[in-house]
Amino acid sequence: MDMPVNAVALEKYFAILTALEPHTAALLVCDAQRAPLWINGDCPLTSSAIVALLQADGAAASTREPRQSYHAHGFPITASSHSRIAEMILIVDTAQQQQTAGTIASSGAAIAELISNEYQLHDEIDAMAGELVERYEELNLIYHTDDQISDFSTGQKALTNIVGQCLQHLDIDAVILVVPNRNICCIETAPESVLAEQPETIQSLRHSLCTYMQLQNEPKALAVNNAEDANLLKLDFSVPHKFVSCPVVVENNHACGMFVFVREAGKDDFTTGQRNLLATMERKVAKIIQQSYDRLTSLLNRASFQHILESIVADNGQQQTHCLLLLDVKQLHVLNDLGGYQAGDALLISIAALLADRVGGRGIAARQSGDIFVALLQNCEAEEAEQIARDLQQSINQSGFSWCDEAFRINVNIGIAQLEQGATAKTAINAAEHALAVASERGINRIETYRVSNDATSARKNRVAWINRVNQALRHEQFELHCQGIYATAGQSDPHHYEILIRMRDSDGSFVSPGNFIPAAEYYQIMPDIDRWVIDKTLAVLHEHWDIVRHFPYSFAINLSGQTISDPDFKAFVSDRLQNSPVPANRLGFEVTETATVENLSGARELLNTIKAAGCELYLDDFGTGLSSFNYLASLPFDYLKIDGSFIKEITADKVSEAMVVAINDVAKVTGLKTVAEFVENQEIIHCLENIGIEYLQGYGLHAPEPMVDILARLRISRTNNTALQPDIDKQ
Amino acid sequence: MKKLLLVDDQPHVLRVMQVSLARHGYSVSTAANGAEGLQKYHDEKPDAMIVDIDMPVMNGRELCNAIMVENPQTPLKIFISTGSVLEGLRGWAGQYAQIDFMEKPISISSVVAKLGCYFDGQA
Repeated sequence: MDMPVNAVALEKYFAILTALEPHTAALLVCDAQRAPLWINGDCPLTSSAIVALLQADGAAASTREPRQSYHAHGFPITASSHSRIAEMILIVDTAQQQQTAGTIASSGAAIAELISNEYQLHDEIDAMAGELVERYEELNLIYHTDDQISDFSTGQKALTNIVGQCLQHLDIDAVILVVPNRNICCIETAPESVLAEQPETIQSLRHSLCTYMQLQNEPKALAVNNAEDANLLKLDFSVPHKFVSCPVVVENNHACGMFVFVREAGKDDFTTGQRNLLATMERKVAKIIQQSYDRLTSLLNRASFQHILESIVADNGQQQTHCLLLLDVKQLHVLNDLGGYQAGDALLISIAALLADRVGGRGIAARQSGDIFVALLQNCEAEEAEQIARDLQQSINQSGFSWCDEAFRINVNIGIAQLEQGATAKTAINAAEHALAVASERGINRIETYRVSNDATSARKNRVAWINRVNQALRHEQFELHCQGIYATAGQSDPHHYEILIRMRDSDGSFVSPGNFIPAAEYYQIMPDIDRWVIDKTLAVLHEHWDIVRHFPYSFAINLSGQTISDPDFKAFVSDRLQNSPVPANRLGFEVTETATVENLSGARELLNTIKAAGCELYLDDFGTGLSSFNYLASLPFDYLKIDGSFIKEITADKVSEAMVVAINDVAKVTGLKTVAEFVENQEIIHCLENIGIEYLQGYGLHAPEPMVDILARLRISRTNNTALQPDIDKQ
Repeated sequence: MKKLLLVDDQPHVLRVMQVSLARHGYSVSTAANGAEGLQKYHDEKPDAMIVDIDMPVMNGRELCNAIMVENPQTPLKIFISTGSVLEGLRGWAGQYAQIDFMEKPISISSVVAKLGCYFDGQA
């Protein structure tokens, strides 16, 4: 330990000595090597003369014989560990007065002890002050580094700020913060440190630690102060400096980066306290990262992407062409159902990796929501974006996905939008969403690009307008029930039953074609609400007119959409209505399309069995368009098979259509189903269908749909007049 | 030995700064507010002052104004410590060549570096 020369005012001790021993001529304090540190101002001797005198006199004052007028007495000044840190040499002028060695020794020893005590106290205070400053700096660092961020750019600044503040407040020479999968790499070196001139050393440490982290299952914090530490930790790399490192843990127990403090080899060791501080700062870093990135996939989150997109759009001034790409992972719910959310999560992680890889340095990728990803491709025309999207889609298809030894083919739809003149982040994302929606409507594994003139995207905009009207119609009872009769080919006088059709009344009183609003209702998933309304309304009308209806054998077939069939609550709803309505269940029938049934076969089977058990008849609608197999037909409780109108319309002109109808009719007979032909528009078609052996006919040629209440009113009159209702075709 | 005067209403800040700057070879005295700071400025004639902006009795801005009105050509250097240097504050300080800023959080190492830089520039 060096003795701090200026820490103790030695004049006062000289004054005490001269008071105790009036013939004290000099007081010299020198270090352990007898280099002079302090000497009294009016000393008649030089410090080297004093040292020489002491050496000549011998070390022990008590055994010394006086040989000259000045006598030297040496006394050790000790640290708290009793080690000698300095020496006090006292010179007494014996010419003036003969002193006893014992008096000098006791006075000198007492003063030397006082000086020692003061030095020790100073030392203690100095150490405490050092500790205090260090703690103050650490607290300053913890309190004044922000981990609450408002957006992505403040998050990036906050990370850089944390690194800089660590360097400022702590006695360290370099800080490394690296999170490879978030493209975060902040390295700062203290300007006065030798490490500032050795960037390759720091880079090498960064690289080694990242490699080490990737090899460990659960990387732990490391403190390496010497080669022995490195050996104990079995590090396979050598570090010329001291460091403490802490894994950056953003997801549960998964280290994605490292936070490191580095100190030059010659400086103090890192302590446990400093390692704990590093861990505290790491939690701040992790918190900042969590706020900007998606925890599951490590991609940017929606808010960060939006922020970056906004700044790019604002800075761009339409100088460069950028494209947005929205990617929708299909069948994620299937995977979640089969393998649990772990399987779904694993798929999302693998797709995120493929997306990040394809986007690479061209732009940024993010997770927009559950199964939707988004990417911004900078300096990229739509054609190139389409090529990138195709490559990405292909690699996702080809890479497949396996879970519990089961392989899944993964399909994605992609919507692309080129950022138009004057585009904002919001309009750009809207455009990509439009394109993605169009892709999804067209099927799976589709890529669509938004263009202003694109018919499909325009149609979608149209749907948005329609959906508001549909919702309003549901709220304000603007829907009405119409009916179209279905007639047996033999006879054709009275309808066999009716199909219920829905119409929407516009604000001007006119009817809106279902072709306008049904696509919107399907797209926005409100068909189940509409179907429930139709069921309730049909039962209510039949109940109201039951005094008449009960005298006629008609049943009324209600269409159920695919969404309704997939609605898990619908079975309970329809069971309740069929059981609790005063109208017998056998007065209702239900039509479902082939496509809707096949999409959710097990759910459809369960629902159809329930309805069938209640006494309703079931119709398989639009048969023939889906090109589905006949195999499943036998396993479903249908009573009727309705041949799709596209075959019927062409039956008299197109042999293929006729052959299809014949084939379908034959199979229906074999499977015990009765056949209904839709779109029967004229007598020629009727004859053709009669020849084939179709049992029931429906179409404008027989009966144009009319309000249900009108039909019931006519039934009431016919009941009164006791006349049978005639089909329209006979009237014509 | 260069003389420093620290003016801050937070005792722990004064204590820590005093101890650490003394360890770096400065003679350091302290004051708990602007009024006390002005008195010590007169008594001790420091070479440089570090002045907190928000203080009771007399704030940092008032203290600086008082010193500058008394002696516009003073060779004293004043570092204002503040959370953020707002435009108004910067505009006010712009009229005095002697005033500079230290933005909080202030680390001891940055204070030592800034003082060292200032005194080295003088020498």
